[in-house]
Amino acid sequence: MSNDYIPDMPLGEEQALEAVQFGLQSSPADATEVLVLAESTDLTRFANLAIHQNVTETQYQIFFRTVWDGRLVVFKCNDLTEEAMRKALLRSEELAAAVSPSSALPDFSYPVASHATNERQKAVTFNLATANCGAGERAQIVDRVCNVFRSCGVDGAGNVRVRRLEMAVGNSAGLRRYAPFSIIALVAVALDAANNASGYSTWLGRDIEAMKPESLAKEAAIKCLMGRKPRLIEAQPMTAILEPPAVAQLFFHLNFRSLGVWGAQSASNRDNIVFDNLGQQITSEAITVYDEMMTNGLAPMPFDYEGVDKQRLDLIVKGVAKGIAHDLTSATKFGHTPTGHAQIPGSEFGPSPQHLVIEAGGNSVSNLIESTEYGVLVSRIHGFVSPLSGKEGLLAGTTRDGLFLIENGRVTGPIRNLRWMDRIFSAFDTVEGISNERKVQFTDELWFPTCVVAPTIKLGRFNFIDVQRWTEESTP
Amino acid sequence: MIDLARDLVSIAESMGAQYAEGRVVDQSQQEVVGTDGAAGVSEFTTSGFGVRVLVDGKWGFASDNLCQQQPAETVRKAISLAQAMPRRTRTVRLADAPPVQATYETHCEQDPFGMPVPEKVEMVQAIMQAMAYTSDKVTKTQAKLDFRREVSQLVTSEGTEIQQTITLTGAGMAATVADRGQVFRRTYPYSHTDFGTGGFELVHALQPTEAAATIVHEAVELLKAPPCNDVVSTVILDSTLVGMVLHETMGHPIEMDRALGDESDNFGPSFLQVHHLGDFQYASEIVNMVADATRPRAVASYGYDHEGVEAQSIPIIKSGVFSNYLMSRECATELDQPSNGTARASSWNRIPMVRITNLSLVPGESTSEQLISEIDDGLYIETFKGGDIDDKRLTFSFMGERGWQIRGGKIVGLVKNPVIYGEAPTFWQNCSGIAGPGEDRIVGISSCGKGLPWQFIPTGQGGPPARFEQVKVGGGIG
Repeated sequence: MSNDYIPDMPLGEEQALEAVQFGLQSSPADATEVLVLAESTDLTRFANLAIHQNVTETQYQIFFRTVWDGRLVVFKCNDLTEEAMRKALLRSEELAAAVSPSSALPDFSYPVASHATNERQKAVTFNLATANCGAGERAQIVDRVCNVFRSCGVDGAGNVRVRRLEMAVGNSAGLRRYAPFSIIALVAVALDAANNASGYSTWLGRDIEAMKPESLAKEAAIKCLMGRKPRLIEAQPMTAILEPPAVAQLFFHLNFRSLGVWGAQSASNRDNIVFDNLGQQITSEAITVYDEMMTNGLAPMPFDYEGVDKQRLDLIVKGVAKGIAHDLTSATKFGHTPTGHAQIPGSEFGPSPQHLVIEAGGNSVSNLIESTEYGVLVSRIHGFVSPLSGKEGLLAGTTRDGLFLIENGRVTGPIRNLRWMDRIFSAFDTVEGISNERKVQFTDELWFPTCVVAPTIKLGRFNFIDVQRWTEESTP
Repeated sequence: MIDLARDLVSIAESMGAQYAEGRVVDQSQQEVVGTDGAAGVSEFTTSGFGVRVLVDGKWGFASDNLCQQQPAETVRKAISLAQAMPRRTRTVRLADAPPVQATYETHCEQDPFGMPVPEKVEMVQAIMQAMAYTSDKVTKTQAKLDFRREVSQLVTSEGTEIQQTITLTGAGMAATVADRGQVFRRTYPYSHTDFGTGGFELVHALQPTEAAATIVHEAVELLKAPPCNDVVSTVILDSTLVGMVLHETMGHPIEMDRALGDESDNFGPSFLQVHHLGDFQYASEIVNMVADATRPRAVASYGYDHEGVEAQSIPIIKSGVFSNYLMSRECATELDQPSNGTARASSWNRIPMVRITNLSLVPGESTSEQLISEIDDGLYIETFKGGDIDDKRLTFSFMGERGWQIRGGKIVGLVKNPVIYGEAPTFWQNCSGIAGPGEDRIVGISSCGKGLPWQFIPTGQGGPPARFEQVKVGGGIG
């Protein structure tokens, strides 16, 4: 499927680029960048096997980054009329008079000069069938998931989200770029509250045809059924086999969600273990991680919010810290080349990778379990994690949606959720095996979803410190 | 804008909605952000409208930008969504709510949007200068002022018409110091920008320029401080930590939509179920907690929620017993009660949902000094730095920036980055002392996250310092 025919988009290429062009033409600033983001998002959520939320939104955002005598001003609004854009630029000029000269300015000529003409430009970002998925079809997907849950005798929740996104960016150095995106995501959570069990599976992609609702529902339901009546074991440091949702959650939090160790902002804050150890061994040699939007299964994003081509960025190669992400401003500050990982202007996170890929290993998940004398199989880590120290890569959190004890090479039963606290790169220094199978996991706090292609990873030691003891029966 | 809200409702009714609410919202934000001596300004505005309808007991919601005013098209989308729901969709009832015609506006002594920008820039620069000049160990200075205003019109098919203007003012700063490979970042008033409802007078009340040098001295002291040992101990938490522990362990579990399972596909449900209401001894008998959307200057104070129900002060924990949920009109029907006015939407493109308002631990009769004097061996922990809670809102960990070791009723030494962890009911059942009203303080965050699509919304949390027995400290991380 090519990008040639784009139906019913919130703006369309012509209107999006016209807005960029008008903003640039009207700007009296020394240098100007105009970014237009448009989205039309539909979401259907269900809980207790019934739909409870069905919403749609159309939203525009237009960002002006203007430079006036060395002073940078950011202004954002959602009004694309010419009058509103003129007002935005006038206001930017007023604000510029009040602010300090910026210590580092973005080099707007870079994205023009570095613009690639290779295969990466042909990344297919849009799928017509996905974009056309309407409320009826989303309801059918929900029905398919719920039917599996019912047949398995479990309760369930989840959501189906369809997004049509457009990004247009231009600057006064001559840059003009536009890309449309289609993204569909399904989350399926199987629940058995009476037996203190749950299971989770998720899928995100560009093409609706690749989504398998029944398989995802079955995966979640099996985990839930396996996890019923978990028993309590005391927490202690031990071997942990982290399945893809657990691995991905740690990487989301090492990344922008908590510590930002692969971004220039935490490096600038002197709170970044990766930046402090560039060129040094920070994990086991078994770990290689890079950022690459042209990876099978990911929704590609050919350029960042500054119009810089996204190139592959090596983050960890055979355990050695290799790189961090830069935008145009941090690249100037650090004397580095921009990597194509700028976030939306004004973002609190700074530049961040959004297509993380962890290299697969040579083991099957069964091998990893069979080689474990005593340990736990961690299905998922909860999305709320404590960012304790960027300088040490220290995080704390809990397991969820299925935790299982492994004894003498086999899974012997479900156990209660455990709390963990660890220096994550130290934990990844104890890798004892990595699966050959990988899954795409995603998180959606940012405008464009952030993904991790994650294998199952066996850690020799992960620091568990407490257990979820409370149950209904323990109520006084 | 009120006319547009009226149009949305009347069009929805003409298209078959049994209930409709139209909201038109205009939001503005101005940030003055300083880093290492340089101060920049960013401004963000967004305006749009949303319409939520009930058709045959099924919800539909659609929204659009104000510059794209096609209300009939937006209403048609909302109606279509409601009609597209299959038979197995939840059938919604709404608790009765009297129609309201009202206006509400945050009281600002000094309108932050009316003040000259250079004055704010100068303050941010002065804060950074004061930090930089205090010690040659300072490696980074950061200061921020953040002002937000929301002007909204709500019209419902039941006759409600409400216009509200809510103004938030926030401030915060951080000094990073380094020496011999050690780095410490000390913040004020805590690790988030502290928000309240009101004007620039809230910034003056924090006395940020005066605090700048103090936090640098404290950061330098912390460079030399040892880490906290792994112990089980008596712990006193300051207001910022009491607030954030309340927020996660009591605030989110009492959201009734969460308890009913609606967040199971996101950050998870609540361990507090309907049968616990009025019966479950969640905390020790000295613990009382309120969710008060009317508290002056607190960040989540408003006149009416986004379903048109008046803001209230709700007793949540009474003598340690779980006594009330936060409820929307839809949730309230589960208990055959009226809504308690806590359904809020983060913007024009989001539906109202049950949200934490201003949570506070009701003051006791003690003082911090007295609480300390009664401890033989313990820890006083200050300044919330970070934390987390599990998927049922049971087990938690929280970190402070600094801790004071207590021996024989006296403070004897400083430790850095103390972490506590435990399980919510046990932790609260071990609350053994609460300071009095003179030390009652509430802090405000701007972006508590919930829902899908994500909604980030201001919440307040706090109370006086409180003491807890048998708290796990550390975590085996050295």
